[in-house]
This record gives sequence, structure tokens and C-alpha cells, in this order.
Amino acid sequence: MTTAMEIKQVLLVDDDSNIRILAQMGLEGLTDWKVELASSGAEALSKATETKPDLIILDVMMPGMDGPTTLGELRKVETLNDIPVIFMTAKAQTHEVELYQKMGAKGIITKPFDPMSLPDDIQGILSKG
Amino acid sequence: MTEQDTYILVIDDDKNFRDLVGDLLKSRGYEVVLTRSAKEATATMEAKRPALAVVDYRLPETDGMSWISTVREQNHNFPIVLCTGNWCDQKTFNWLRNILRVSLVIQKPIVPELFLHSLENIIPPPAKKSPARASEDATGFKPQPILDAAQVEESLEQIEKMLTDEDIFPEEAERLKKLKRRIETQNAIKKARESFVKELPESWKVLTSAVQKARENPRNLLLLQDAMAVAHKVKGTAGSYGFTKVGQFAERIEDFLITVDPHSDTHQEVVWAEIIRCVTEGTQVVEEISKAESTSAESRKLPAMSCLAVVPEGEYPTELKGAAADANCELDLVGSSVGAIVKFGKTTFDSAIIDLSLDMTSGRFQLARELRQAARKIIPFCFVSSNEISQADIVYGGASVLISGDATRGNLSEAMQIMTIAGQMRKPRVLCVDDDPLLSSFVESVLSPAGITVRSLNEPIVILDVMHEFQPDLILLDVIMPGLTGYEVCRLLKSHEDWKHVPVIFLTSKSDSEGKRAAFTAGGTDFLSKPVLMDELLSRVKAHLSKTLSEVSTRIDPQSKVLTAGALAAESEPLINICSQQSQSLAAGVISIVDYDQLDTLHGAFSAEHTVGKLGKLLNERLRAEDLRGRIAEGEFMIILPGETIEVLGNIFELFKDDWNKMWFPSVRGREFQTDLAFSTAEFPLEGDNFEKLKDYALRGLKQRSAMS
Repeated sequence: MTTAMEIKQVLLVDDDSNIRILAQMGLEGLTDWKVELASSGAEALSKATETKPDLIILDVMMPGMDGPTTLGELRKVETLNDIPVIFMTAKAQTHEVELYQKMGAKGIITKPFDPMSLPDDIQGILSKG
Repeated sequence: MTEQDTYILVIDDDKNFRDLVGDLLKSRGYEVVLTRSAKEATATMEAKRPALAVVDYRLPETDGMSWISTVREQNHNFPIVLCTGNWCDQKTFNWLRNILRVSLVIQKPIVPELFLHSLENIIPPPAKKSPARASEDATGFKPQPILDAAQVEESLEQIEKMLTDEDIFPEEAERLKKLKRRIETQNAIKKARESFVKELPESWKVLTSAVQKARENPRNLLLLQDAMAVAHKVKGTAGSYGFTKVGQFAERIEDFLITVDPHSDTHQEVVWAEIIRCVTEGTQVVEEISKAESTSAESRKLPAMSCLAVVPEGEYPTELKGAAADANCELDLVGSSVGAIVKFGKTTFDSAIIDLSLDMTSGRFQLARELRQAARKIIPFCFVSSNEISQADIVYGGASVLISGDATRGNLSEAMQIMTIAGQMRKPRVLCVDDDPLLSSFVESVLSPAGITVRSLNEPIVILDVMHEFQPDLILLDVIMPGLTGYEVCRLLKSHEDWKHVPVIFLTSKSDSEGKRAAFTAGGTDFLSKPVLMDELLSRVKAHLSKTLSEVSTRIDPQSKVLTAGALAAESEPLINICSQQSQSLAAGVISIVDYDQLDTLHGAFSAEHTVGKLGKLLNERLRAEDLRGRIAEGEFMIILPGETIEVLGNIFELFKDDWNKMWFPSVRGREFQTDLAFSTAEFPLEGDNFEKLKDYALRGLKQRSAMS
């Protein structure tokens, strides 16, 4: 599997701690990526500014600032606006997928996901470009 | 090209291997055809082309390589996996890979998890087409790895071993390392799933009540949206953790909630009925899952020790089983001494109850001796005897407890508890404080074989009581627990005069510097990141134990396998203290091999060493688990028997002589030779109140005796 970019640091944003644990386990267990966690859109913005991740995985449905809003905010910040973002959602209808992609998301991971194939799924999305 | 290619062709003349591979592949949904020879395989292939072939290197008549060559010559391009008992050389390997286009060379014996994983990488199993819905049980739980915890560990061990192989090819090593990581990750996820299960009923309850509220106020859009959000979350989370059915019910609930129109009255009832049905059925599934979970957690409760009861068939089985439950002891029964030895050959028990009416082996308490030989360690015994039996016999035979007369639930359970303590004496002790029973049993499975006694504690609240009772040498402490956090527990211990020197290793999933700092600030000695790796756990624990105790391996004299002089001195100290506190007697004895210095000259090199080995072995096979045996000089040994008098010890020496006089040693002079033993005793506190004084007194006695003779 080849990717255009090398990932070292990933920011994972989800309000559900169980999902954070599971996804982190899959990613850190199977790859050499360092996974930083955030539990809300606001936390994601500050953590992203701090750590400058190579990839952000963003839950769509979150209380307060939801995923798309967070992406919008990220795009406003000059230093963060080219970080690739992948959405994670339990509801992915075709029109939504199109909408998210128009917003600049690289792709979508659907929930429920399999933690053991999560890294491959992400690589797959990134290599599609 | 013939018919469709959906099956895996297995060619191996070994039936066991064929069946193993067949079962493994079928478990993942592959269609398999098993064949015994190249000829049979070719015939099968002509009828229907395989999707992949698993070929043994060595086959009768046409070997695996020749078969592959023929297949490739005929332009068949399906992937081939070659299994071989030996690593081939790099040249052969290259030829296999590049010319014969063998996808994979696998070394036998195969590691099931590795084998399946490698194959799945070449052709995905049919089950993978719909991953989440495949092979789930009634509760919708998708059991991911087909291997249980013990098998996973075995796989990891095997991989570890293969990685140390010098001849391993770099690409193979790379593959193994990757696989090892996968297995470890899968393990960690399994553990996370165990703790998620505990939350599942609560999450479902939240969903149920959100749905009820929305149902009661069908025109309230906010309540409806709230219920949707909860269902949405449960769907994503439960599903991701492998609880597909729960996820599916949540999904259905969400889908139906979307169709509820708060402004309309038509058709609402049908929709709500469907939603309520999903909630009810989902509740049942959640209940089943947590019930299954709690029973398996119950059965995972660690026994204090395992015990084999060698008693006449049908005698006091209920008493024994009751006692085992009371003493938290894992019990196995066997009705004959031969059966007992066979059982010990397969699994090692931590202790044994021997009904002496069954000890039909020749010689005195020979069964006990043979069980220790089979166990390769000094396990404690309980003798049950209806006949009178002398104290010297009891001690010499190795019984920490004697039940004379009827065995009852009460005295059996007491005996098991005494044996538990006797078996744990002097072994380093580690207390594992963690609310996850899986982690505790993992720690136990890693540390126990290394001679470390592990106790697990699931409720940190009672730690001080357990500290008093168990007196651990080291503590493994989880950070996140219900009730007290690990940091709080650590601070509590460090503020306690008795426990502040006991090292604490934190088990933390926070591997970042913040977690580290918090661990050290709280007084932790070290920390291990979760998921904890086997080797790392063992090496760290050993490293810290060696700072507080004398290192386990250096305690034992390599020739005689009894304690070294230094270890004997160190370990006798607490024993002497206890006897002094409880005003008990304690007998110390020195056993010396007569004319030890001349044995090599008389009978050839290593003769002396040989006798030392035999005497050490005898000392370990006899006497109780709680008694100490050590080598204090070249041909001199010392034994320390708490609670005994020198009269009893004198009788024990006679028993030693009986056994020793049956032993013959090879001599360069052609004939076998025998040696004598000389004995001397010292009694606490009359002849000495510490180890050195007791030893000096006994040695003086020995010299006087030899001068007299």
C-alpha cells in the first residue's frame, strides 16, 4: 500500500470515549502513527493548532460544534487548512457523502467500523487522492 | 480453464496436518478439498480448478516442488502456499518465489492464527464479503479471533521463537513482526470489548428511556431528536465493538424515528409499534450478552491454587468439592497412584492430597516423591490416613498437613488453605490491582511460570487489608478503576509506614509524558503501557523484584538445585522470627557426605558432584514445602524445619539414611560405589537464636562426631 503522504500524527475527534479508545487501539496497534484524541470540535481546533497533525478523523454528529462545522473552522485557519480530513459517521447516504466531499473531506469511514481494518480503510481513502 | 475456482486444494500425506488445515480454513468459510498426494491433487484439479493450493514440500512419489513445477508449466496461475518442515536456503527460497511463483513459504508446525492471516491476505475468505454480519452468534456478537486467550498466547510465543531463528529471511521476519502486532492489537481490542460490555446495559437503558419520552410526547421535536441521537450513537459504538445485533436494532430504531412526523397523526401508531418492538428485542439481546459476560467473568475468578486429590474412587468427593470451593482451589480427582503420576505428567498441580491407603508404590510415601519428580518443584502435600503415622514420617514424606481419620469439608478446606500458604512461602509475591479480570489472568499466566505468586485484587478499596494478608513484594496497579484511581491507591500506600517501600508499577493506557509524570508524582516506581506485552511485563517485574529480593534464579545452587548458602541464610530469617514470635520450636540439621573430598580421587572426576546432585534431589523430593534446604559447603547441606524438634529430626535422619543407602553411584573402578551421610542437629532457641549460630552449633556437633568415630 503506497500513499502520497507519510502519516506520523493523527488527530481523532469523537465525543464518544468508547469509539476513541477503539479507534486509537486499532490505529496505534497496527501502524506507527501517533494518535492524539479530542472529544469535541472546539478541542479539535486547539489540539490541531498545537500538534499540526498529518490527518484529522472527524466524527460528524457531535454535540456543540458538529463535524462539518469543525471542518469549516479548520479551513478558516491558514496553517490548518490543508490538513486532510476524513469524516466518521454512522449515517452515510449518497447525498451526504457528496456534500462532505464538496466541503473538502477526503472520504468517509462508516460506523460501525472494524478497528482491525481501520488503518487499511484510511490508507485506501488517502491513496484514492 | 475449467469450472469456477472457489475452493482451496490441500495436498499433504500427513492426515493430522491435512485435517488441521482443513478445519482452520473451513472455520473461515473457505471451501476445502483435502488430498493425500500430487497424483490425487492433479486429478482433483482437472475436474475443477482451485483458487489456491496449500502444498507440502515432502510428498510420497511426486514431491511438492515437482508438482508446483508441473502446475506452472501447464500455465495454471493460482496462488500456491508451500509448507515445509525446514527452512530452505535463500537460493531455493528465491527460486520458489520468483520462478515457481509460490506466494508464501510457511514453516511447519504452523501457527494457526498466522496461517489463516497469511492466507486471508492472498485470498479473502468468503465470509469477508459481509464482515460484520458473518458468523455471529444468537446475540449478534461477532467473535473475531477464533482462538482463545491461551491459543493466542501460544501463537505469540511461537512467533517469538521463530523470530529468534537466525536463518529466518528478512521478509519473513517482517511478516511475522507485523502479525505479532496484529494479534496483540486484537487482544487489546478484545479487552476493551470486555469493559465495553459492562457499559452496554446502561447505554441501552438510556436509549430505552429516550425513546419512551419521545413516545409520550410525540409532538415534541426536541425529544424525538434526542432519541435519534442516542440511537445513532449506540448503533455506531455497539456495532464497532462487534455487537452487531445491538447495533442493528439501534439502527432500525433510528430509521423509524426519522419517519415519525410530529405534525401528523396518520400512520404513527404502526411506526411506534415497530420502534417499541425493536427496543424490546434489543433489550433481550443486551440482557443475554451481559448474562453471558457475567458468567464468564465468574468462571475467570482465579483459583488460589490447583490441587490433585489422590483418593479411592467414590470416597468423600462431595467433601472435597465443597472444600475446594471454600478454599478457592481448583480441584481434580484421581483414583489411583498410577493415574496421579500420569496426570502430573500432563499438567502440574500446585499441591496434592494423598490418601495413604492408595500409596501402593514400593517404599515409604513413594507416590509423594514421584509426584514431586513429575512436577519438578517442591509442591506441598496433605496426607489422609486412618492409621497412626509418626511425625517424622509426615515431615519426611512432605506432608504440610495430616488428616487422620475422617476427611470432612472443614478439615479438607483447612488443609488446602495451609497448602496454599506452604506453596507460596518464599516465592516472590506480586499483587495485581486491576478491575479487569482478563488483565489479571494475563498477568498471572505470565508471572506464575516464572515462579512468582500473583494475587489479583479487583476492588482497590480493600487494598490495605490485602496488603496485610498477602505481604506482596511488588504491586502492579491499574490507573483507571472504579472507586479509587491508581494514583490515589499509590499515594495511600506511600503514606503508610509498612508499605511505602513496596515498589509500584503502574499499568496505564496513557503512554504520554503527562501520564508518566502523574505516575511518578504519585510515588510509582515504574509504569507499563497497555496493552501490556508479555516479555516486557516479565522483565520489568523481575528487574524490580531483584532490587527488593534476591534474584529468583541466583537463589538456587545449580548443582544440587537447593538454596545457595546465602539464600538459605536470608530465607531462614523470617522463619526463625515467626517461630520466635509464636514460641514454637525449630529444628536445624546439617547433612554431610562422608569423605566428600576424596570421592573424585577414588572414583573418578565428577563423582563428588554426582553425589551432590543426588542428595539435593532427594532433599527436594522429601520434606515439606515450607521446610528449607540449602547447600552450605561443598559436601554439606543444611535443612531447617519450622515447628519441629530435634527428636523428630533425628528420626527423619534415619529415614534419609534408608533412602540414601539405596543409591549407587558409578565409579571409574568399574563397580558402583556408595557413600555415607553424617548428620548433626541444632535446636532453636536452645542452641542458637539465629541462622549463623544454629549452623555453627550443628557443624561443631558434626566435627565432634567424626572425631569420635
